[in-house]
Amino acid sequence: MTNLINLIRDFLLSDSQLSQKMEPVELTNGQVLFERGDREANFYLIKNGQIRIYECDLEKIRFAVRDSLDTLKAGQTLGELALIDGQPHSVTAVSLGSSDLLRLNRNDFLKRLHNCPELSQLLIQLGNQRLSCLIDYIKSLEEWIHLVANSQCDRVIEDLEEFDVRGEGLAKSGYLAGILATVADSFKDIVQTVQQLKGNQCQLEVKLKFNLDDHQDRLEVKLKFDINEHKYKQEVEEIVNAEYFSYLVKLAERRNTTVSDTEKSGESEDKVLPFNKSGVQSNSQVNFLQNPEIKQALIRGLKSRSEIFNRLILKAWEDEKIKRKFLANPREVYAKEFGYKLPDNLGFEVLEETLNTIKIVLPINPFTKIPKEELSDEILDAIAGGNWNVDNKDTFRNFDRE
Amino acid sequence: MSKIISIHSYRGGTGKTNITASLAAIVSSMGKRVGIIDADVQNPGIYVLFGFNETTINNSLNDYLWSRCKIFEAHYDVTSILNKPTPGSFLSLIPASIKPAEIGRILREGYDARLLEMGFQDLIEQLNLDYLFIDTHPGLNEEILLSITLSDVLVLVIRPDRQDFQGTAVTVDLARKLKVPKMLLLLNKVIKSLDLEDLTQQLEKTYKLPVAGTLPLSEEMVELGSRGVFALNYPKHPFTKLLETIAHQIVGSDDELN
Repeated sequence: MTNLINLIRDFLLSDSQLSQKMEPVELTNGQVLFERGDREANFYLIKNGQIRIYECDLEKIRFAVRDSLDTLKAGQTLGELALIDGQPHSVTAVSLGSSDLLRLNRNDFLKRLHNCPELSQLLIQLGNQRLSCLIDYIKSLEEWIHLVANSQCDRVIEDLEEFDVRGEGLAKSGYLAGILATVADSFKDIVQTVQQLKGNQCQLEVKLKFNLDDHQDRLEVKLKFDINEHKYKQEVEEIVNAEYFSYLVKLAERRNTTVSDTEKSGESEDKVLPFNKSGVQSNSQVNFLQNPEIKQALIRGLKSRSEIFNRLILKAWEDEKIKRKFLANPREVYAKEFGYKLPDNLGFEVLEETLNTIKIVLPINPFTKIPKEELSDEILDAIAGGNWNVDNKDTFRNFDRE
Repeated sequence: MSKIISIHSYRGGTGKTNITASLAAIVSSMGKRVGIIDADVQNPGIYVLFGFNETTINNSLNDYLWSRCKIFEAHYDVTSILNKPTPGSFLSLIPASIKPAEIGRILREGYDARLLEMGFQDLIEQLNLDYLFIDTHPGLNEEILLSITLSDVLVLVIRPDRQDFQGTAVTVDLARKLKVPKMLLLLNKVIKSLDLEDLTQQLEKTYKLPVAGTLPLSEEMVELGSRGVFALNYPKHPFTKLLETIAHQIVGSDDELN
């Protein structure tokens, strides 16, 4: 952007048609060339002397409230932006000592613009650059608003403190930079207000307490705090609505029931936990499917069992011979397919569905009390497809955690 | 009947770990069988206070959570650290892994919170514990809430700090919903110039909970710099005396301790 402004200024100074239009201006010490807000949009070249630039109104300069922003010397120019934009001056210019300048007024500049494609092109480029800077600025604004909505006010304030409109490619665009800086400041005020409203107020009240006993002054700090009720209830709500929380509530209920029952009866000190062996065995048939972990383990067991059998089913479908053999002597096919011989005393039956009959096999409920003396662990494993055991506590521990 | 005591704070740096170690040491010195689980697996720390380092920790809570060992195989008998053990005193630590790769795995994959629940119960049974202290991770997630749910006593450590106050409100509300039988507030790192009476009143009124104690910001604690268990290193320090009264409140309802 600065480069483009420089190019325009160079053009103004070198163009022969424009140099004819330039009028001399003579200033004495302290004489004002233009004041901030002045609408006469002229461009000046300093020939001799110095011009001081102030970023404030004349009144403040007179009362020496502000220091000057810059001092321009012979050869330097001012007012390019006013000339291009036709907007009021953003600074005040005062002569330091006597000075001679050349002045180009906006009408002459515009006339030249109409018959000079080179100058027109420079101005179009400048316009485009400013536009893209503005788009970037709007994007930043959008990002800040998003952050504020997400309670990240601190980050916005950090960003705003680092954000310098003049350094953001809008340098030397005078009134535009001024407007954007004002917007940034206002935005910062908004964010700070929001932050104060959102955060709970913590005030430190410091009071001096005169201690009569030891005649010493003691500093005592009172810390006042208020809980932001809305905010914390919102957080509680979020957690309470989480999937796992209902499990915790059930666990808490069970736990408290157990504690009070134990206290009343004075019996066992064991708490009933969902995975506690005694707890499950006592009331297993009613409760086990309510426990998501156990249910999951059972589903996995059933799934791997059906995967094993599906292999055999596919084999049978592929090959009629295998199918017949499977129906006639399933033990042999199983042994061949899985390299594992089923125990001799374990029966193995294969049923074929027909076009008008569906057959579903119901596996043994793992929570049925199985007389262990009658069945070996080996047989039990085989029934279960080798994946789960009748002892659900072990099941839970053994099942594959991915 | 054995009790589970969770020490929790909404944010880190409240002194929770030092307080856990000291309270556990004090309670076990009374002749109790006490276990400590470092459930702060994301940021383990209590092992240092008991003089462990990377080479002296073999099995850890992580190994249990990954089904590599049984929970009691990850326990370390630290009873010898007690200055004045009484007959029956037993102190055991289940550290979390301090290997960066294993902490990384926990952070990445998390763990099944419900295994913790079984672990607590197994440990109490197998080591025949009277008290199990849980040093929890700051904040509120599923694992922490599970520890809270299983607790008989929940000790909430807070500093005089706005964020601590706000976060504790959330914890207290949830713990009430989870019917935790006993909750205590512990105000730590209190500066001398603070009007304690006023602050305690505010806390009790806001949370409707008793403030079990206010612990000063202790220079000695800073000086000790995690080189040991405070209550054992400074047995006569007023801070330790305060912790002793708090220990009595925690185990308070058990007549045998009086």
